[in-house]
Amino acid sequence: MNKYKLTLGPCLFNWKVNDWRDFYCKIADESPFDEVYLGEVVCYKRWPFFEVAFNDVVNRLEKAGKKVHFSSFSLILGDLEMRTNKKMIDDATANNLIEVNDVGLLGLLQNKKYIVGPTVNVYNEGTMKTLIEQGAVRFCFPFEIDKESLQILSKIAGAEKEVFAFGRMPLAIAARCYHARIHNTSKDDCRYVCEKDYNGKPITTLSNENFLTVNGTQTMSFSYNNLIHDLHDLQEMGVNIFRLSPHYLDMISVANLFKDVLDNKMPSQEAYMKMEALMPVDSKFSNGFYHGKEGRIMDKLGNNPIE
Amino acid sequence: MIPKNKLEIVCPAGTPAAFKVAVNAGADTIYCGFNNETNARNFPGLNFSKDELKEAVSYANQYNVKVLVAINTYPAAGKVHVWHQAIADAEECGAYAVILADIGLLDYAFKNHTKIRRHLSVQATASSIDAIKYFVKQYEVSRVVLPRVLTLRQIKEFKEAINVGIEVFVYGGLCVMAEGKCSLSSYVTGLSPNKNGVCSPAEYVDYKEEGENLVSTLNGSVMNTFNKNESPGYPTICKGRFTAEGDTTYLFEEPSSLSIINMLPELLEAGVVALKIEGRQRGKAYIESVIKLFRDAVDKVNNGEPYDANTLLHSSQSLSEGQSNTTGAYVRKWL
Repeated sequence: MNKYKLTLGPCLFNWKVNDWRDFYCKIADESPFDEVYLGEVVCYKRWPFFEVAFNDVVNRLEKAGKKVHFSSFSLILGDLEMRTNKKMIDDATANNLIEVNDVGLLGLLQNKKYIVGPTVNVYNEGTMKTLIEQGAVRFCFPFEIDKESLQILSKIAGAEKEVFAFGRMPLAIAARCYHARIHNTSKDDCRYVCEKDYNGKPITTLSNENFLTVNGTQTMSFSYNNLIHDLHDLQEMGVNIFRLSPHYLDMISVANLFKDVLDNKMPSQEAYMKMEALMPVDSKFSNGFYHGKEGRIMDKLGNNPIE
Repeated sequence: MIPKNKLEIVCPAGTPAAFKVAVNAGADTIYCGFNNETNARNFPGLNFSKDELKEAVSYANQYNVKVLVAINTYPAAGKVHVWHQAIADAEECGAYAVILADIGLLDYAFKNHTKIRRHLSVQATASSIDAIKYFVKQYEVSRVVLPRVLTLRQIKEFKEAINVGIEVFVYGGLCVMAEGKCSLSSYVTGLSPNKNGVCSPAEYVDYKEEGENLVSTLNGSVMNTFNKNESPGYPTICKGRFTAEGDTTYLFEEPSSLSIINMLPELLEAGVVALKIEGRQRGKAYIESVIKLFRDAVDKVNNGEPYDANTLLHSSQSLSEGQSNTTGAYVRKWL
């Protein structure tokens, strides 16, 4: 089996900066991640809080042997986002690649190497090849990509392939802030209410069904995507980078379970059950998108029978 | 004073019959799609075969009306040839431009179909000056349809920075999420705007009576409950009623539809060239009324004549099926 990489995606939530820094120090010291994506992806208003600690965290991770990439905003509406991202591009050293999450950065990175993040629409081989010619060296595919598509896309030469293997999926982004709306205010006057919900704010339907999760301007899945049963399948097709998205829970143990399954040291069903015990109450896993179904369901068997 | 540039009305046509109605009602430009997954209104009974499109183009030519073909979904891996064929067919039918979103398709059309113009679909989420510059420089798109997440002020800045035709949505359904970046529908139903050209598709929708109320569901999940006095809206996820912090509200957006017919002079001044009306799924009567309303307003604005914005806004409201109207992100206080 090919060598795989475990990556930690950008933190999508608005944690207090001290908690954020402590989290990454632990990741630097104790986690099996090979690479870490850092950067504010959701809202420009959050960035100043992280900016003060950013370089320290980058240094800490790099000293611990982790490769660090810089993640950009997933919706660039103007100068407020663009200024931050242009500075990020300037600050990146040869060791840091930029993860492009909005097409607005593609023109600025011509002839540079970059990573295409999951909110840039790469659904087919034509788009992959076009972007490889323009500098893309890795693709983390959209959340709704299915196995059938991945089987084709994983064969395209010239770039690494990554999938979003764990965490609540950012399903939509808007100019409007729903976290602010929940608290009867607006984005311009938000008072940073999103910092209250470290794993996002779950919302329910009128029949009290857990449905989605609000995270600032982003709307996420209620379920945590979990491809633990599908890892070997993915590796066989040529996908070798597995992204776990940071949540406020024991991410190091989650990462170790992924590692154990990838190293064939643990059956995926055992890892799945152990992971359930690590999750906040009322959590739910899903892998429906990968299996070509609605994203919110967990197709436990998939095509990869439980060992 | 007669303004230098003119506004053009871009109208939807879901069927050949609606197409003729749109031409006769005074559309400058009509957009439509083929009857398959290549377009973002892939609904049963809607859209055009190649022969129907050819006939429509020749009808439109008699009246100097331009035809745009929306090929604006994202091709699935291994099936890109279906989308390539759609571009070739649009060109062969004599359409004025294709409306594309996928980077691979833009690159393909730019290199292989030089006779047909490329417009950038709203589904490409070109929401910044740099994004638009990229598509103009790389694939020579001649027009950009802006996502409905921008304020009028931002749009004005675009026009000052880039020489490209700017088209904006002025009327009809409103996506509150950035278009092209929304997987809510596929999370719940498996089918999405990006992949399948549908959002909250009808085959997953159900309405059932519960006591005095009517409950709408999408793939089994309750999207809304209506009492006898409320008109039951379509259960699109972002227009549903949900609970957070103990409060049940239209958390994302009220079931309202977009109308900025009262902002036409400002749009003209901002450098917008084309006004897009949403609704390829709508019937002939609706298309006809909306176009007539806009035709009259746009002619006045184009000629620098007085223009009664409030009356027009009121008239446009009565066309949107009892729903309220919103100016969406064009006015910043909405955010």
